[in-house]
Amino acid sequence: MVAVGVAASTRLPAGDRRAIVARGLSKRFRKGDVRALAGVDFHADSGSMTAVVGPSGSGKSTLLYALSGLIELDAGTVEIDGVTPASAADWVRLRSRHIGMVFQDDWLLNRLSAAENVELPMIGVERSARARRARVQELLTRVNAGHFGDRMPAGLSGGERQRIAIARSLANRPKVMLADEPTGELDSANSRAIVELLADLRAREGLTVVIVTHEDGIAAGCDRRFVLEDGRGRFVDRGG
Amino acid sequence: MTLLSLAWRNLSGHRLRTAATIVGIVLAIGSFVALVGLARGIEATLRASLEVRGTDVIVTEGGAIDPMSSVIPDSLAGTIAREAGVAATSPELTRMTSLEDGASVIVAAWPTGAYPWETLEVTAGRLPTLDDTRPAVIGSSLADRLGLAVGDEIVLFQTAFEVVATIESKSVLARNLAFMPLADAQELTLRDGQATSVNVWLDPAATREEREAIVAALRRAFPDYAIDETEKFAADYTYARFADVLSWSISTVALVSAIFAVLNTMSMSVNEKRGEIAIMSAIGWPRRQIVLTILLEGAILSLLAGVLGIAAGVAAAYAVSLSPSVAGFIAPEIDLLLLAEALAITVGIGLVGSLIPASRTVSMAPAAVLRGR
Repeated sequence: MVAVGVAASTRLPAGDRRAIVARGLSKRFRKGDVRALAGVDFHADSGSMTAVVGPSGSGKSTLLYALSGLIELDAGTVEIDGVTPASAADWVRLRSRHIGMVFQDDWLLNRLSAAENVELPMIGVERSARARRARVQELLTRVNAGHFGDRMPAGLSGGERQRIAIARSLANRPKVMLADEPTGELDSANSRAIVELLADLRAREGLTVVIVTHEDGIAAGCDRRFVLEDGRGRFVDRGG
Repeated sequence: MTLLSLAWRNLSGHRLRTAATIVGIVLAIGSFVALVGLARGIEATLRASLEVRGTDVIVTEGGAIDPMSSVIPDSLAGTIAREAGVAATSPELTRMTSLEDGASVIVAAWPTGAYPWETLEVTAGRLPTLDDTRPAVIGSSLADRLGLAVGDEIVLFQTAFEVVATIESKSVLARNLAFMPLADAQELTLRDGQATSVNVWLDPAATREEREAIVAALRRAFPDYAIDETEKFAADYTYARFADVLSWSISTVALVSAIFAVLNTMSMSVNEKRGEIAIMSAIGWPRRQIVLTILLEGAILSLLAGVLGIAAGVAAAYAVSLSPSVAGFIAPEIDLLLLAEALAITVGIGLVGSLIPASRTVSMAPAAVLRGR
């Protein structure tokens, strides 16, 4: 179990602008006729860290993909960083510049070096190759991966790979990070390191983090917990 | 890193598959260049051989499928010569015969003193006269191939001829021809009074329009014969058309196969990269950027193979033209137009072959892929 303490000073005052506002999210998967989300309301304040918890199949990941526009909803609206996307192109723009995503699997491209993987989201966004390289170095240093930027993913440990994936998610300076069980395939030491890294990034950059997890330790370290069960969600007090 | 370098990495990451696909495209493009180049060479070779002898119009038997199967009276040349706008005419008997070494040679025969003789560029010896007995003039390539010089003997139609001259020509066909007096050829091939065609030399002062009018008048005057200007005659030459159709047919099969090779490779590539494509969507890559990467992959693959294919095709065409069975009859006509066509086809193969796999990414659900692994 991983426990992460979040310094009180890093939390934004209550009532500050909300980075994520989602209303009435509904999604039913035709395959198996599963109702993954049933009118879920969700919000996250800027700079907050929210854990999404719940039993397997409760719709945690579906909520995350709904917040990133990677699935088409049956109903509901999502507002990210003040923007309500109305089209697929709007979602692409949001994912490119406002949302960083991290997954249980790092999804690194194995034929690219660690640094090139971090550079990937900037292609088509940042035209200057020099600026891209500088940003990559900055990010690698930020995630404590500066010493293995030239290595290929196959030669990295699970924790190192996930650090690279986190650096990649930050490439275009997003305001929101959505993490789907980012420690799911890591041992406890690496899990701790990754969660501490997320907490640090949130603290230093005011990043709004929503993290899907089944680990109580990680959830306990977050500002709030959002519990999903049978497609329905509610916020609970820490420890509640 | 650029989209181009990313596409290149994708290809170089699967060397065997990339190499196999490249070989498929190389064969297709190589076949296209070689076959079409040789087919066009047939027409070009015939046209050049007629042009160098100054023939503006050629008259053959109506309905004959090729000049050698045409049978017309040699007296027709004199009749046509009396028509307005005609500067000179000459009957011609063209036959093919075997040499002592088993190879074939085309023999062109004209009446001694007829105008086509004067168009030959004699490099050694002299043109035949009426006093000669069995004189022959041979092209420089034929002379080199047989090791013959002026004064030597050459056996044509199983009869010994004396080489009285060797000639040079811009036409590869002419360089490989043997020439003899019409009377000798008619006697030895049992075609007394016959010719296969009449070469017509129009008034050099005539304008383009006037030449067309002269040809039209000749057609009206001699409706039973095929009367064509040299260029059209070469273009309509049955064997050239046949070779053209055959080369395009074979090439089309090869090119379609190449499209499927690219399609197969790119489909495999896209299928393998479902996760990558999903993560590209997740990190905010627009669909068009993802599709462009796949199209670039196809384009690099086909362009690389296309360049190699063109080189292989050019080499194959020249190798075929040097083989003993066709040497001297066909020189490949591989010009910039053909190379541009090959390159355009190559790009087309790459785009068509990768468009369908690339379009599949549009319907791909990234979330399902990212969660499914």
